Amino acid sequence: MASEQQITETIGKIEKDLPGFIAASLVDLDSGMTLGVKAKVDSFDLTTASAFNSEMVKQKLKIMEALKLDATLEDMLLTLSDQIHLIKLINPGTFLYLAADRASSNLAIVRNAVNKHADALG
Amino acid sequence: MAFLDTDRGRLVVRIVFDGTPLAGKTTTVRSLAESLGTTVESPEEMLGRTIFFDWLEYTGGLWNGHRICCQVLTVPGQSSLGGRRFELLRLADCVVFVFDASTNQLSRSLAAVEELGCVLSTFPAPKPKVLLQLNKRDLPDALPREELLTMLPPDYQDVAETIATGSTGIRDVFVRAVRLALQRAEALQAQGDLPLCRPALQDSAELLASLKAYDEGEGESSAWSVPLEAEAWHFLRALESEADSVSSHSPEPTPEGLPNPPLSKPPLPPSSEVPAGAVWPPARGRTNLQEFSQLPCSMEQKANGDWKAKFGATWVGLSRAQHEFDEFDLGRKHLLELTRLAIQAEDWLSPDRCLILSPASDRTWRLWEVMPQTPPLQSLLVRRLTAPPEVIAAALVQVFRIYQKATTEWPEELLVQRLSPAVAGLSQTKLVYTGYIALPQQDVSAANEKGPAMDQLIELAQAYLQAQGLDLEEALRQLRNLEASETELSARAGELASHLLDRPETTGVAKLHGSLPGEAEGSAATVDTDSGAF
Ligand SMILES: Nc1nc2c(ncn2[C@@H]2O[C@H](COP(=O)(O)OP(=O)(O)OP(=O)(O)O)[C@@H](O)[C@H]2O)c(=O)[nH]1
Ligand SMILES: [Mg+2]
Repeated sequence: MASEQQITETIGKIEKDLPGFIAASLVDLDSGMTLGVKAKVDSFDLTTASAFNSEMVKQKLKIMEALKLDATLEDMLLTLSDQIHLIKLINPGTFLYLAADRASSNLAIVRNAVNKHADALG
Repeated sequence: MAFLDTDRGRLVVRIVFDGTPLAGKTTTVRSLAESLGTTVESPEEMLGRTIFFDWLEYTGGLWNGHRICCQVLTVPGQSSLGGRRFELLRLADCVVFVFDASTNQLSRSLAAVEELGCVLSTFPAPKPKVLLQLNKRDLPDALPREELLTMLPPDYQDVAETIATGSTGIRDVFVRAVRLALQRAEALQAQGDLPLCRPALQDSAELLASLKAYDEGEGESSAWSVPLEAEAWHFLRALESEADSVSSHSPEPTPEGLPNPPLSKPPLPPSSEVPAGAVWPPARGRTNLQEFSQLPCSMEQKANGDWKAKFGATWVGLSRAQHEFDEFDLGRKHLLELTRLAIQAEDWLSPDRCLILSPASDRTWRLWEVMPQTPPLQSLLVRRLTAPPEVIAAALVQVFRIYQKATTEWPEELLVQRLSPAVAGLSQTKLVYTGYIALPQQDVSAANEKGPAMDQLIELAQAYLQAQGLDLEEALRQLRNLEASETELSARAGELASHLLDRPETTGVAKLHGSLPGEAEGSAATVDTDSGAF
């Protein structure tokens, strides 16, 4: 498990590689509590966003179980009119949640930047 | 102890950092506060030592759709302040034991872990979870985690490593502690013990005040003074189970204080195969029997030898000790006698109550009174703690009205127990009796030790309102505001509350007794008691 400092540093690296980075957090899936956060925009409420996204991931996992899908959930992508949100499962208990500006980024760039550094969060 | 805060719709959990003196508890919580972007309150700290506690509050995460409010506390490590430490430990859902890694502190720390185990063993289940925080890992003589694990008891193997002064590992400890606290909340919920109430401690000032009160009361027998939400909740729940135990008829006195008869083998539950003439009422009784005999049945014997059967969560059967017969015909004679009595008491019984004579073993028959499970008023007054005051008041007004009518009409000779909130339940807007039908010459109404029936209800209502932080008068006042309300139902409730409040003799809660209007046409404050506030 990475330390909080390592988490913040890793998110910093993603930020560098990702034009349009808004905010990101490493989240404990069970509780929805954040293990590390970094936001470029102060008004972005990462604590709340992380909490509610943990619920979404749990729901998705439940759906997969109900459908008896023998697969693992790797990531979830949400496209808003002006933002891209990516949820990347790091291990069974934690996920990275990231928001980026859609005008200056695209899905491929977001995925690429996250995948490049995700291992350091495990 | 974890609880659902009805004011703010959040789950409150408490994490208490315990440990030997100077192990780094305060440093840990301060470093956590910095990481969470919040602050710590440390009342009356002295020369850098914790005298009372440190307090940090943080809301984040989600539990079953509720935000999680974490109240994080530290205890004072100095042994002279042990009393305060125990008071604080009582609040914990998760205890993080800060273990000083410096080797020269080892024996002291291990002894303290053992002591914590002893303290926690006195707490009711589910016990708070424990996480060990191996702190000061930066010290040159720091004990490695693996080595520590070999010295710890098997149930203390959850160990996290930290350097509180360098903020290393602290956030991780916190999130792990929250997870453990949530596990306790889940365990409480699973056993129906997760309180739904208002916080007893709103902030650090309130905690400080209670700890000071504790200091003043020290040496007295009931020294606990830090309020625990769960206590008020359990108090009300205890009333509920008391209701349960008195709703079977009072135990017959055993001659010359002889011990109660030994408990016997449980009888067979009533079966849908019983012969014709063994069920009353014949048609509805059969249908009901068909329904509840399919449900899982649990059997319990009272100290007086009576049997109580529960069918799923919806039906209850009562059978007196002496109602087991060797011959069907003798049983049938008793069934007929009981039927006559049941018809006379009809107005006070659930229309679904049935009498059944069913095989108890391969040679005997047993007579049962089976009825739908109707929670007595006493336990109704424990539920729906989340309703707004005016709804509670409306429901109370209605309960009082129905109940008051019953105080004058209760057929004492037909029912074993006197009217009390413990034996009267509500079905729709009707009061139903939940105990045994009285047998002439055998059952004498139990002496009314608890005072007049109305006072008992008022006392309960007061306790209930107090537990909710509400005042009955205030609730009635709120209700009066409904007078101008759009719906006819709430307007009527408002009218009635107005009526109660405007009569000078009813302004005190105790004076509600005897002052409620009767079933005057159109003046009923009708609240659907099955789906409404209760
Ligand atoms: N080297 C080192 N020192 C630490 C660490 N954590 C705390 N300390 C030091 O330990 C001393 C005691 O820390 P506190 O946090 O006040 O200890 P406490 O457990 O709250 O003490 P009481 O409140 O008196 O029970 C301080 O001098 C801290 O700087 C750590 O991880 N490493
Ligand atoms: Mg301290």
